[in-house]
Amino acid sequence: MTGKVVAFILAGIVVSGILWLKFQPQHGESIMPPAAVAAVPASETPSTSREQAELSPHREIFEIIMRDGKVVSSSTVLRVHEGDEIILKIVSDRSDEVHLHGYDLHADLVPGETTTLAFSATRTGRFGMEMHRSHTELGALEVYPH
Amino acid sequence: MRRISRILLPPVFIIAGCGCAEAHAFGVIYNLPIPFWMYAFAASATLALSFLMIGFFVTGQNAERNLRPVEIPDAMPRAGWSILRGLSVLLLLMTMLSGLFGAQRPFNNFSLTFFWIGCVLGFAYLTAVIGDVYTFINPWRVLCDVIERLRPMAFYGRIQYPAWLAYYPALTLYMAFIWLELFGHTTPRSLGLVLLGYTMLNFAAAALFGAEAWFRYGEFFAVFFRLLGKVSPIAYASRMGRGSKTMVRLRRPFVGLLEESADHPSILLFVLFMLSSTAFDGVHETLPWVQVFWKYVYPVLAWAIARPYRFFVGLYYDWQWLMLWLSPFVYFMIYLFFMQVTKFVTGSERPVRELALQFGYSLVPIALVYNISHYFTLLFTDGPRLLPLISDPFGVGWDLFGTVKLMQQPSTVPARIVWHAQVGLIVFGHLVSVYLAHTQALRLFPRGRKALWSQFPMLILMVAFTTAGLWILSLPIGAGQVQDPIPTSSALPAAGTVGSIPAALSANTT
Repeated sequence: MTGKVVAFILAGIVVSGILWLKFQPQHGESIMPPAAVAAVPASETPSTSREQAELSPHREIFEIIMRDGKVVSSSTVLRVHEGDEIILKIVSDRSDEVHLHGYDLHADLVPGETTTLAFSATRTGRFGMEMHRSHTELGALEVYPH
Repeated sequence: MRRISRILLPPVFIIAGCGCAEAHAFGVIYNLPIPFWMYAFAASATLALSFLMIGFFVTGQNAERNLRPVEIPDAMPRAGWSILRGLSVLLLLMTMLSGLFGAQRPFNNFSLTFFWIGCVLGFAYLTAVIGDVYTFINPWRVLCDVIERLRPMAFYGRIQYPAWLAYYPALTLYMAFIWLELFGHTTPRSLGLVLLGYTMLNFAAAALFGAEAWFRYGEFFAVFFRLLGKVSPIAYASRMGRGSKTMVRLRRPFVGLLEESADHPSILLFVLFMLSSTAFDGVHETLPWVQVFWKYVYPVLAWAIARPYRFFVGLYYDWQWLMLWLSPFVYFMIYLFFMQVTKFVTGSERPVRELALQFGYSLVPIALVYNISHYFTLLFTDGPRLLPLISDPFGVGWDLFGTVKLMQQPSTVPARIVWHAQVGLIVFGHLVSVYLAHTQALRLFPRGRKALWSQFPMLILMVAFTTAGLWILSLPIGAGQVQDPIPTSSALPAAGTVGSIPAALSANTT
């Protein structure tokens, strides 16, 4: 019986190992899922502008615009890679406090002014962003490992 | 336990519906969906290893030998139990009192973190390791014992526990409990009130049916922890000689699930709900699931009934709750179907009901690992907060043990570790379940072709459950990605603005 168990475990490791190598993504392939999972209508102009800054290759700039306490954004899931420098600009016409979970970052929003959260995406995972006073969820920051 | 329910609501509803709770989200899981390739790997490994296992052990005539336990009499002294029983009641009272009278900010109050993270997750997993200690230290049982000492015969039982009731009270309470977990948005105070209510219910039911019967069939934590305790390599002798020393039995891990089989379909439903409620929690905020309602159900309903959009938003909640409560019955139907197939391929004389009971507990490992892989990160992200909280349970600025300053930094578990742990655990638990079902099949059908054929229905069912579980973990989470079903312009006061927003979110945070 013990011999059988050992044989099974060995065979199991071999089988799993082969499958692992077979399924593992090729080098350089991103682990991040494709961005457009269900759709923003094509006619809509996304108001979350996501532009690559020229200064650093790993800097991600996001802009979230709120009107009347509502997110006027097309995609509220921000996908970045671990280690990226994130600059999050939030413009709201109401005063509130924004909170990014996991990183535990807070920032006060002043009506009409741009609030900027700048941080390095050191923690991987999916972190919600919310307004503390109006309890509105802004979306989420998804940080994928390399 | 995702405290935040992300659903597709027009912002109008957000403003109308929120503003009731504290802003901090409690018990939020930071897990990313597992990458697709990892899901594909795990699903194929599940399939390959399952058949490999059957191939290796199909003639495992010695399966019974694993069941022989080692007995250690007098392992647990009476004083040990007394301390634990006292501690258990103390913690229950602490949770209720801090909830009712403490600060209402979730993170400043002992009650929520201790109850949801410490008990429901931490103690459950601990029980799977150290065995069903809860039977001995169940705080409500202890309180009943104390009352009984003052008023003998208080919990002797006015009426005989009806046999047809079986584990249905526990199942019902468990279903209500999971609803509270997923949709209840508990605050410290509401949790305190719920626990107070549950305490009263336990006293009343124990007085009516007798403590022995109620804490066996009705108190759902007792049923829940007893099932998990069967996983553990440690078992404790029954309460027969209460007050005397306890005998400890050592056995191989998981074989406790084979020591006895399920004694009523209601406990099967309980086991299946352990699995289906976790699956539901995993799926109910994912994109494909959310779309089911808003893409397919909603248009039909909107066509059929002329009601304002907000009516359907309310209906969406009812729909989610209904799906949660239906889930164990759906799983039960699937399970019974496979039992019917088992009966057919083996030509067994045994009724389907008996077969279903015999194989029922073999699903516990799948349910357990699925639960762990869903929630274990909470132990690391929210669990450490218990350290400062014990020094200041009411959130009023105490520092009883000098630990208030500890664990102030948020902690998270790296995504890669989470993914690997999830996949590893699920495949491992699946293999354990397959092995248990296999052993059980060989007991029921010891010889010949029956032995071989009896393996497959259960194997396929388990592969299906496991693959479904892995698939759910790989689904994208729905927030902000689903198109808003554009409401008719007359339905909403602010329809003009709503219509231009493709997706909206609500955060009903606790």
